Amino acid sequence: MVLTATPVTRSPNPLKGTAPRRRRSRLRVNAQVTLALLVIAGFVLVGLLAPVLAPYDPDLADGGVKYLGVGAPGHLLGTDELGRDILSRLIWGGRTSLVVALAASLSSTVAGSVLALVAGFSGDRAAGLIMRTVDVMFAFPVIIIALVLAVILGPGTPVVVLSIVFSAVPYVARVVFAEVKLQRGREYVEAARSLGAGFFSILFREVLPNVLAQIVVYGTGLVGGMIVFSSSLSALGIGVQPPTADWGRMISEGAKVIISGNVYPALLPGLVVLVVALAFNWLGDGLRDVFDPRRRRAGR
Amino acid sequence: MTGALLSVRELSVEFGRGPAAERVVDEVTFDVRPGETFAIVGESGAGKSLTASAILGLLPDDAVVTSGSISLHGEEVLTATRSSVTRFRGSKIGMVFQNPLASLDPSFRIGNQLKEIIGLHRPAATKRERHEIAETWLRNVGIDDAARVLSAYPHELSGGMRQRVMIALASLSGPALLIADEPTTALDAVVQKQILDLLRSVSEETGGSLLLITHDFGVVSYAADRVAVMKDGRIVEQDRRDRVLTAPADAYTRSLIRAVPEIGARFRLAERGLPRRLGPAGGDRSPASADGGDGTAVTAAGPRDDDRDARPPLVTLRNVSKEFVVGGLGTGQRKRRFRAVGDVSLHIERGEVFGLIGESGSGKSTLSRLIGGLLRADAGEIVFDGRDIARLPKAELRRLRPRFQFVFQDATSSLNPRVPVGEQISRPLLRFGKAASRAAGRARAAEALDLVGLPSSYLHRYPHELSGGQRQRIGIARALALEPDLLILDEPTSALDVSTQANILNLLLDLREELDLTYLFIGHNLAVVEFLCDRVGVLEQGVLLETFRAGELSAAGRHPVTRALLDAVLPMRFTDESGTRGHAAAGKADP
Amino acid sequence: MGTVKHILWRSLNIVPVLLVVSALTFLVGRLTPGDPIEAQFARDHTPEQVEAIRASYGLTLPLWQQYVKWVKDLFTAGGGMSIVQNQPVFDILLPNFANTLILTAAGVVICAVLGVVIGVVAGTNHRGFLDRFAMLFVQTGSNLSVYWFGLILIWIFSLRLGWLPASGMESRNGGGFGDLLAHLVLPGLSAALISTLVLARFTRLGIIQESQSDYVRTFASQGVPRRRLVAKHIGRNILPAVVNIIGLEIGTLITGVIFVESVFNWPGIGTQLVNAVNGKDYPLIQGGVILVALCYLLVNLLTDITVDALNPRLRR
Repeated sequence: MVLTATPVTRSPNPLKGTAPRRRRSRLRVNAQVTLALLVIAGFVLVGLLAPVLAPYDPDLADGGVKYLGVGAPGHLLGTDELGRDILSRLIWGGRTSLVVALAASLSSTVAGSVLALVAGFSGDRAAGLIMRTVDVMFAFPVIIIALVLAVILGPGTPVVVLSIVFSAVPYVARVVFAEVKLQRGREYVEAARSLGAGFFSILFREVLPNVLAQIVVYGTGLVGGMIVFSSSLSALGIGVQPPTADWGRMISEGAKVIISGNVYPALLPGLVVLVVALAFNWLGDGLRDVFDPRRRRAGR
Repeated sequence: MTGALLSVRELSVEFGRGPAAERVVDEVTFDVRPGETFAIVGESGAGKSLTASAILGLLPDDAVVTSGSISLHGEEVLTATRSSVTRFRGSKIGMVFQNPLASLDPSFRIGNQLKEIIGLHRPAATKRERHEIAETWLRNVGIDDAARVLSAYPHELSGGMRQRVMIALASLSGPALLIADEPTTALDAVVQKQILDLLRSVSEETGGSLLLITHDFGVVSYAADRVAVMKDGRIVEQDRRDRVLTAPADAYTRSLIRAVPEIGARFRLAERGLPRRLGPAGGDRSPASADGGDGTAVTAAGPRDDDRDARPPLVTLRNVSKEFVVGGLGTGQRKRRFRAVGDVSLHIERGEVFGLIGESGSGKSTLSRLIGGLLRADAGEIVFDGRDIARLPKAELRRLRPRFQFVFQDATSSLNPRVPVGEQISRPLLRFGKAASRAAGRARAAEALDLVGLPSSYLHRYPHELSGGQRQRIGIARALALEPDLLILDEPTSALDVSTQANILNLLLDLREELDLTYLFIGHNLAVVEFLCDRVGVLEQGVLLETFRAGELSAAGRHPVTRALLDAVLPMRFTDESGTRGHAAAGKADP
Repeated sequence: MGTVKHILWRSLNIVPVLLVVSALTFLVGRLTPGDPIEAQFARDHTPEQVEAIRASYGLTLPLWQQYVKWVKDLFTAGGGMSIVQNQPVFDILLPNFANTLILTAAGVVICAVLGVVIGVVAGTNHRGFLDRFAMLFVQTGSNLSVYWFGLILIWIFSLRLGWLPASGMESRNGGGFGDLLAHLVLPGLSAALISTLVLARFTRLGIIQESQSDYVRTFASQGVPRRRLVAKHIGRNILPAVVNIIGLEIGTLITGVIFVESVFNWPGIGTQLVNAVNGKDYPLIQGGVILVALCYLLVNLLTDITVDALNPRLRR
């Protein structure tokens, strides 16, 4: 018989060692959202104030100051192979990149969500048709869509926006559809029907409030990925066209001189893309925790 | 005191750490003696399952044992190193979980899973021996076609079969202690008794003890030798079963036991001239409305025959059928038809409570949805107050909807989590013109809340801020606000704790009296149905086998299916002083 | 027998998709603004000659006949003539397409191995240091531009450290299989980056979720060691989903490959297609689209069949 009280013990979980669980505190979540918002707001502000903030004309080529390194006098972040000021080009480039990614993400989120809501609450046939189309489109190589669009429209910003929309709508539709299907099975939908609610009332007044948080979270996360993707498209030469300053363009122009050891013209815009994309990611994650603290945070 | 097999001393478990930690098991102390069946009974959140998990060292990630000791055969379990905990598991303690549908690995055949465990406990056994042991154990748990089951995947077996396999899996190492955590909660009533018998006979065979975790006093009464009652993480009393059931020392135990519906209870109450209520009189309904219903009106055991025959039935069903098509194009499954309701005819009188009972999958929910116009019948007619709703155009059916309202089984999911309670009640009122403005809607919603005994401050709350019982009250209020004639109650209490269930049942009886309502009550607990209903219909595979008055439930000549349902009800021994039972009692008398 | 039938049914399912894809691809040629024939030949040919050339491309027929002819050309005439290079499209594309396939295959292998390893390490150390580290890595990596990532790899491993070749598919003086592998490492890694991280994240989540499932608790309560729980039970249960993700990621991977080809000067169809865009050589684009779509659909079909075969509910 053991009657002595044993000291504090942690019981082992079948699959885990003894790493202590730390609950993500509300505070930390809020801090994350705030930080992400600050970063994003910063970039948006800088983009808006580009004409004031940029020390040089982004397209001004000055043969006398090629390949200046970071910290060079007068050129804080150096110059590229044509002697253009990298900082100025980064500031101006943000305008295009942010506008393109935001516009594309917003429109694909709205379109995808509407598609999913309608599919979720129409007959099995219609839903099957919509979702099967979405499934086929879902994983189709985006680059192929972009190339096709580029040959039809000619390379340029519309190609970027449209290929993002074509590729992101199925993603959004699938995520939202899964959520709608989940909600559709809940009894409150049936209850609403028994209480006389019609199709649109159920769709927009009952179900939408329950999936809206998901949509916002997903749409926010999308922006980051789309900034990255649009920069790659522009780098490939079928996105934003010169002489417009654009982060992706800067990367591909920098690529040409990297062999000669000049890494900054390519490195810096890539880092900026990374920071902005991460900020949107963080915002999305943080929003998810704010909207639904009960949902276990295991993903991402 | 000597010879306790399992000895739990002042065990405390907390969720989280630091000042925000929440104590969910609070200095629990009990012994399980060799060969006995010890039950821990309590309502949800009492901490009984966590106590069981702590014994096996299987607490969830964020739960921590903060103090106390657990010893098995005098060996401390809590301080044991991880490898010896692993040794304890399975070989000395086996565990059967609540949900047999998910407790087996869906990707492996039953035989593979059994043999893996056998190999673990008897590494020396050859492949052939393992196979034989697996087969023997399947027979031990009453599975005759062991060969088929061995080569089956879990999804190919019924819930009851899977629970049998789980019992075999947990006990094939001959553990000294078998823990069963709500082993029959997810199963049909008829299967429940078999599984409990099996658990007892298996633990007798292996000479081990059984620790039974349950919320059901029927299970305690049927299977336990000794019992501990838990509330809010504490054991409020523990003793021999018969003592606890017949002469509970603690007020909480008393109130719990009184809340349990029993077959025939209603008629016994009527004989003694007592009101038809469960649990402590009055429940938690607000005093004002409780007074009106108390004592006088709701006493009679029988239905109110007098005014009933004068009016035509409210609902009449003639040869109603409903088929579902499962599978088909695009689903990857063969298309097949499945008859959920077949040729059902019945009528529901005005002011009566009509009960529908049957096992899960018998079609009772489908039938209720046909009557409530949520599904369209394939054939037959459903006449509600003179109009055939099976053929009514959509728009007209919608206009009729306020007159028949639903209260759903799962109060949590039947309320929209993102909409305040008040708006959920007032929205339909505005929709049907029962309230002219938002303000009027709110006022009516407040009245509805008052009917179900909730203050009007609850209008602004969200469902997750309410308890299960309160949510179900909201569900009832939302339906009643439309002033329906017929209330369709689809197992409204089956997800609730027993004391909450008692309160809701009392409330329903009061409301019927006050508002002259007609109820269609769907249930699977025969005792509840008998307590509440005037007439009862029995469904099996979509066919209505018979209908009878509640008082004639035990009468001779009942359909075999009805009798099987009645036999499956675990007998209560609250008033029985003798300790004799159907089983060879393995437990010894208290010293 | 059911299996064969099931596979046939699955295969039949891609026919309508192929029809739609081919029709859309065909329309690309019709939607392209401007007149490439005019642009190419007007200067040194008479209008009559240009008209004849147009007829020789079948551009004067009704739309549906053009489609039929176009489909026929895919099989018999090497996909029609490239406008810029005046050679059958598939003759131009196929040799390079093989190179693209090699790079894609390398990407799939890297994605499957690396993705599962990262996912398992993180998932089994849920909330531990390794998990946090892996997730930081995954989150950062998922936000890298593939194009840029390739450049940085070149800068570090080729220019700075000189460990691996910076571009092309083989060294100037040739070299066997080992040489090809060395050339594959950096582009393979870059192309597989996003897919790898998606798979890692997914595998981790699968392991964490399955760890909390009832059947794992059952076997844990019987004293089955943790390592075995992960390797046998959890592993088997998330396998179909992992295979499915790998199959789905093929689209992302192809996109990655085409970005990467231009960074590493890989002689694949990516570079050709980008050039074709600039030359408005739409027959070449059409050929490329058909090749890639065919591959993509085949991989999806294989994935579906594998996943079905792994699902015990669909067996027997």
